[in-house]
Amino acid sequence: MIKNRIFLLLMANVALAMIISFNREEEKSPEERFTESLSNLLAHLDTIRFRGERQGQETYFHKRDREWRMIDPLDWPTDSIALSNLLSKTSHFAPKFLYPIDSLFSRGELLSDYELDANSSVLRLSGNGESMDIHFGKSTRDEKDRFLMIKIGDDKKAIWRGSSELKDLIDGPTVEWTKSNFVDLPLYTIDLILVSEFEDNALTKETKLHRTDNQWLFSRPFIAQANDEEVAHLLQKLSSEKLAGFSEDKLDENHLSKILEVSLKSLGDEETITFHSNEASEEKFLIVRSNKRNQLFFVNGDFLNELKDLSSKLREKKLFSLAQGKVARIKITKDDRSLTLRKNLEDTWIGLEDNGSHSFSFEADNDVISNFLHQLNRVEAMNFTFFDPTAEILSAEGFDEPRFRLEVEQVDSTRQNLLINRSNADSSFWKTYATEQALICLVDAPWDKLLSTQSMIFKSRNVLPRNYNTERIVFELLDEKIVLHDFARELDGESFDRVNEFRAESFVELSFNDEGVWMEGDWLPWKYRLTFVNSEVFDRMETTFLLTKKTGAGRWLAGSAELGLVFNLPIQVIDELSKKISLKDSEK
Amino acid sequence: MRPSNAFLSLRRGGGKITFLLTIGFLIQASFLGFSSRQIPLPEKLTQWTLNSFLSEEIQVEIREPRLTGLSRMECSSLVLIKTGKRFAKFDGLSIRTKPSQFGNGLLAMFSRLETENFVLFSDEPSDVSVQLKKVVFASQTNSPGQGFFSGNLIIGPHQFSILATLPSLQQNELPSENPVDWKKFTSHLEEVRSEVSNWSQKFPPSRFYLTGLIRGDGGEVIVRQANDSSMTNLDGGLAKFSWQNPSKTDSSFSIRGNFAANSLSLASEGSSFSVLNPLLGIRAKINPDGEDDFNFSCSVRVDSVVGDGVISGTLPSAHLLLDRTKENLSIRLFSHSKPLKASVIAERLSNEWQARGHLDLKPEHLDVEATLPQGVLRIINGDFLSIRLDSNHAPIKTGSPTQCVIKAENFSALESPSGDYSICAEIASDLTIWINDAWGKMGRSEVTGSYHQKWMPNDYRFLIKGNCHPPDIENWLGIWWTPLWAEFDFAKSVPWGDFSIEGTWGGEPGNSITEGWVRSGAFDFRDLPISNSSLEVVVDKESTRLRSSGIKHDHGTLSGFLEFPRSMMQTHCLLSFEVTGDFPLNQAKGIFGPRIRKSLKEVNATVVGCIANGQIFDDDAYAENEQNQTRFEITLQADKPFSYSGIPLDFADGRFIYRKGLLRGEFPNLGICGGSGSLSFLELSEESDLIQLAFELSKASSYLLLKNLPSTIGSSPKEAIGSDGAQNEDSIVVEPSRQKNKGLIDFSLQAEGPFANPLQFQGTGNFRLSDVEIGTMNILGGIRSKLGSFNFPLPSDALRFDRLEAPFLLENDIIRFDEAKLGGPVSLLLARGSFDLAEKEVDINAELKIAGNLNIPLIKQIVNFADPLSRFSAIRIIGPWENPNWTVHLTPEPLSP
Repeated sequence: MIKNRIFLLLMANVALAMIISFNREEEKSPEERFTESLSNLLAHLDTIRFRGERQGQETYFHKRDREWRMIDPLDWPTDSIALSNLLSKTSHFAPKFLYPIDSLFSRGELLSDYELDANSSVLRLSGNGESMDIHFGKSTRDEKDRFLMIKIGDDKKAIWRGSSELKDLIDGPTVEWTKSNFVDLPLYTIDLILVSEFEDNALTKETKLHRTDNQWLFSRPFIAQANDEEVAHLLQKLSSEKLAGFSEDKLDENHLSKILEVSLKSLGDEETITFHSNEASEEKFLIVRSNKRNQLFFVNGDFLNELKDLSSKLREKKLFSLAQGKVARIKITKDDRSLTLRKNLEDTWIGLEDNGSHSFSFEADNDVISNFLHQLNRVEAMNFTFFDPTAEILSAEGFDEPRFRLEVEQVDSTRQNLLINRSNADSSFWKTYATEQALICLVDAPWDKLLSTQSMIFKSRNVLPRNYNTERIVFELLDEKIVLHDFARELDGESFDRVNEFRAESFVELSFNDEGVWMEGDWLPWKYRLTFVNSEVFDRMETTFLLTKKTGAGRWLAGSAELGLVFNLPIQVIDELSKKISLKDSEK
Repeated sequence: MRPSNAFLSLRRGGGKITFLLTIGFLIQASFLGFSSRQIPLPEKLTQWTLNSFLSEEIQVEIREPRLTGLSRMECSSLVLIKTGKRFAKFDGLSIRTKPSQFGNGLLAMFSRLETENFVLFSDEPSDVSVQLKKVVFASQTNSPGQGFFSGNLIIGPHQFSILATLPSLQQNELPSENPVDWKKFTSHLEEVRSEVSNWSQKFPPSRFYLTGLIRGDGGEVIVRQANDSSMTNLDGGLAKFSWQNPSKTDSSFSIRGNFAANSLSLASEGSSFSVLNPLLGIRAKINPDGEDDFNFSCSVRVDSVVGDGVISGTLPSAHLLLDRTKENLSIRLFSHSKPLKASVIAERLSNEWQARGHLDLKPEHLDVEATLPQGVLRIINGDFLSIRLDSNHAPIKTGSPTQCVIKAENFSALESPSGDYSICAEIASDLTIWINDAWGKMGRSEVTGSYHQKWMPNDYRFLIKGNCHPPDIENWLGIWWTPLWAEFDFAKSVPWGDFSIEGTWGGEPGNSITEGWVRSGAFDFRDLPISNSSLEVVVDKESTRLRSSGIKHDHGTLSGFLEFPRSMMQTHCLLSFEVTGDFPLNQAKGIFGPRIRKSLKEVNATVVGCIANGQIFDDDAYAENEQNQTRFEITLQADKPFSYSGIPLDFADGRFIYRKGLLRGEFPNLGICGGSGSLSFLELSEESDLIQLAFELSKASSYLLLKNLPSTIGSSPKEAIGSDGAQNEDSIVVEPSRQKNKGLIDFSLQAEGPFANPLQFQGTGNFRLSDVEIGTMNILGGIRSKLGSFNFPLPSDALRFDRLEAPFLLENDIIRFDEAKLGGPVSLLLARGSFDLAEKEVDINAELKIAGNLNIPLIKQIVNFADPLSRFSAIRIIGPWENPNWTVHLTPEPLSP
């Protein structure tokens, strides 16, 4: 009796527990459970497999160390955006539950009625021991959705309906899921490039560059400086070149002919990429093999042009990199005339003009020399004609008697010598022989204008006495004796400073006329006077210049009887004096 | 054990089991009973209870609260009120708990929160609504403590469908000691809401899916644009961001992100740019605790950029890499496309920017156009443009670490003539560009110059000199440039110029100042050939001013000043001018425009001394002021003969004055046909060309005057002489050599009439002809022959006349006179009648008084008394003035010759 009561109570408890349990399960709809399961799965997802409708082989991604990688059908890094797109579309996939698969029989239907068979597209997500399979069947009658068969974990399969978005995605070609570039080394860390060119599988040419102190240098076929940005451009092209497709593994090696091999070293890691032509194929693709990948792939045949003739393409084309502080002597020779500029101990420059019969020295201008070096630094080789030319070649090219000779000696005694001749082929170019670099190149630089042996070009532009301490600058109209402005250091500030930077911009005449100056056929009488009054109490003196009228935006001539010179004013002086004239005019 | 004891022990134990099973049954039954039963709770009591847990600033209002079973609390709405204002509202709120986890803490008990709608209210009416719909926030069934969130966040027109997995949060991670500062929390929420609202209004409507996979030590978020998003400026956008905190002891974390889209459109005023297949990648390492401990790298790739609007066309693919470390910042640009091959690095090292690399552009492959006021123009074209950047070892401008060399061949910008260019520049560390040395040869121009460009403000200055053919650069300088030079013809030589152009890009309109000196060889300006000139040009925000002190032409030298006000000055003045010197009037009538050309139309003078000044206004000025604002004054001094309206003038000294739409001429000193006189005229109204005229002339040669009278108002020279003069010595034919100096005319006229039609004048005047044999005059030339043919017995000089005085009335084309006196030594002819200038006919009644001109009173009366001609009362002359019909009327019948 007791046992029966206990038994009955036990049964009643169990029944209630089951009802409670059943009721609790009933609280969640299939859609809610799908979302919950999906979110749980996504949090631990490490495997994605899918098979598209037209794909015979399963595509398989695996996540390791938070990085996804395609394992099948290729072993290749995945395209992060493509995979993120899949994950996003999966996570927001919101199918509608229709009925459990068990009920198909009772409905008199078969799975094949929904085109849910072995050939239908399927997406399988799994991780942390949980999984979800989504099979994509035929379109629903309203064609808005597709029939799906979803299996969540160990639950029974059920028929659902959902959008085609996921199916469209997984039906795409394999190449859309892979990274499209094939060099995976970080661009900035590559420190060695070796490019080997082959003909009939035999090595014909090697170009080797290495990076030292962030500068790229050639070590083969010659030792020379490379242009860093050209090398960076090459590496960028290598790292961004898109592969055209993947090759089948079963290629006949006998038909592959090695054309070019690129070896890159980065942080001790080396990647060698070998480009082959496929004699068996007429397509203009190269077959590429990388020691870092098992998979052969194709690239466009035109890409090979980027990797050829690197010794010319990557070589530094600038002939000079001169800093004024490091240059000690410059000598320009033209025929029997020469001009030598030499820096003295005070960091000023002394010039020596030698016209063959006599010579004289002069004070040279630092700014002009700086400008000259600046101009030299822009000179680039257009084409390299000869490397290591022989004496015969030098003679044939006319360098026995060059038109110009330029010698630059640096403070550390390194020298650069250029011998320059007019090109025979094209008179606008100059054949230039750089003796230290042992090369002949064509240069499109105005050597004839740049390499002047006239002292006037380099003569010091200072026209005020050395260490002249100006206190006032009086600017007057000469005839009417009207003072246009009296610049005072204290009152005029920057305006005073600008006028006080009074120097010659360029020399016009090395002579002076009391009345004026002839300029390009026009007679320009002196119109203004500019007087610099110094501040010395005991040695008070005035330095006077006569000025013509302003004859151009940047042309205003001044002359000094004392120096016997006529020169053009610098622009800041022109601007400042023009302002004062305008001001005076507006007051009238 | 004895069986009885065993039974008793079982019985006692069975009772306990039964008791426990009964209790269990009851609990389960009541749980089952309550679990699906809704128990409404009293609103006020629930509200009071909840508010008692909250601060005074935050209160709740709850509607229809209820309990479902033991684990679910629900209400139809719950409103959060902050300081008396509605702050947020939940609709259809449901919170599920797991009572069985009571012992494991509050977090473990939480199971699920759902709400149909959650709204954050705002006080600002301009704020967009922020709400969350269909929110589910639940803990994972299979992963205790781990949860997920799903819902739709709607911010104004933007919708974000969110699904996020959340990390497991342990009970000990909950803030326990300090209660939640609701005021701070809600204030923070309000700030976020306001910020989000502001941002959302800057973007077009959008719809995105957000997937968050958040772990304790990091996570990732994927944001995907919905296919049906109405956001038109982004297509197929997808972004992924992940972050990772490698260790709990180190607060630094790394971030990685990728963004891709099919296209991204960026619109600015007048232009839109579509970036095709943009791909953005970022990597960063951030240490929130470490100052400036921030490494960041970014890669941007675009396939191409398609512009539409002001800039249209396709820009080439490019790859931009940005790398920032604590010390350095570098930006690399690569392009490897048909129009552009580029590899450039710009580095900021020790706060100094430096750039190296090259850009090789093939402009012919870059089909980009700009829609400008001067037309739709291809921005660049030509063979190549090469830009080289390198370290500047020998700077000309101190603080310029980058040297830049630009070369272009057969290059054209804005469809200017193709040319070659060479530029050497420096770039300062603050990115100021100094072009120290530039050379360009294009079209007929070849210039050298310099340029600088500063930033913030974007000050620039060109200094250019060389031969510049202004039309060559018209596409560069906008629509104001072309009209300036439209009237110049530089076919013969290209002017040499020296210009300074400075200003601030994007600054105040009209801030640029152009100052230039132009020297030219031969050129034409408005058909005026100039042999050479020097010109100063100033263009500022007020006007374009041209000043020259030496414009040499075929007939002398002119100096002048022209000022064209800028349109931005909103003045209606088109031109102000001052000209002095030798003015080649015939050639230069048009240089001041049609109005002055019209004024000078009738003047035929090779060169006159000229002082002219004035201002020409447009028609709008008239409408605004209801008065013509154009005014000018032209003082002319002609020492050499010239003509006006065909009338030869020996000299003239006077001026034209134009004021208030009326032209006035004052010539106090005129020399006409040997005489002298004055002329003044005044236009009477703008609507018509009526003028008022006053003309005085004395002692002019009648021969010359009549010879040169225009056909419209008098005889042609031939007519004046007479058609049959050769046969009639009395009347017409007089040898010019004999007669040209004889006959003097005094003439005065005050009249009004249309300027264009002299036959429509009305007025009065006086005509006096003296010192001439009247018989030689055509009109009255028949007097001797006609009267002579009557064979009257007259004294010998009775029909000789040598002076005429005719006050007249001018009525359009009719000249009427009441008492014209034709006098001779003996006789006097009194005439009245008219000349029809249009028909060239004469109708005169005259009375001849023999000896009537003898001023001896008695003799005169006697002669008149005894006069045999007293029988005829009148002479009538009628018909064409070349050959009028003469009839003499005797009393009572006329006589015929």
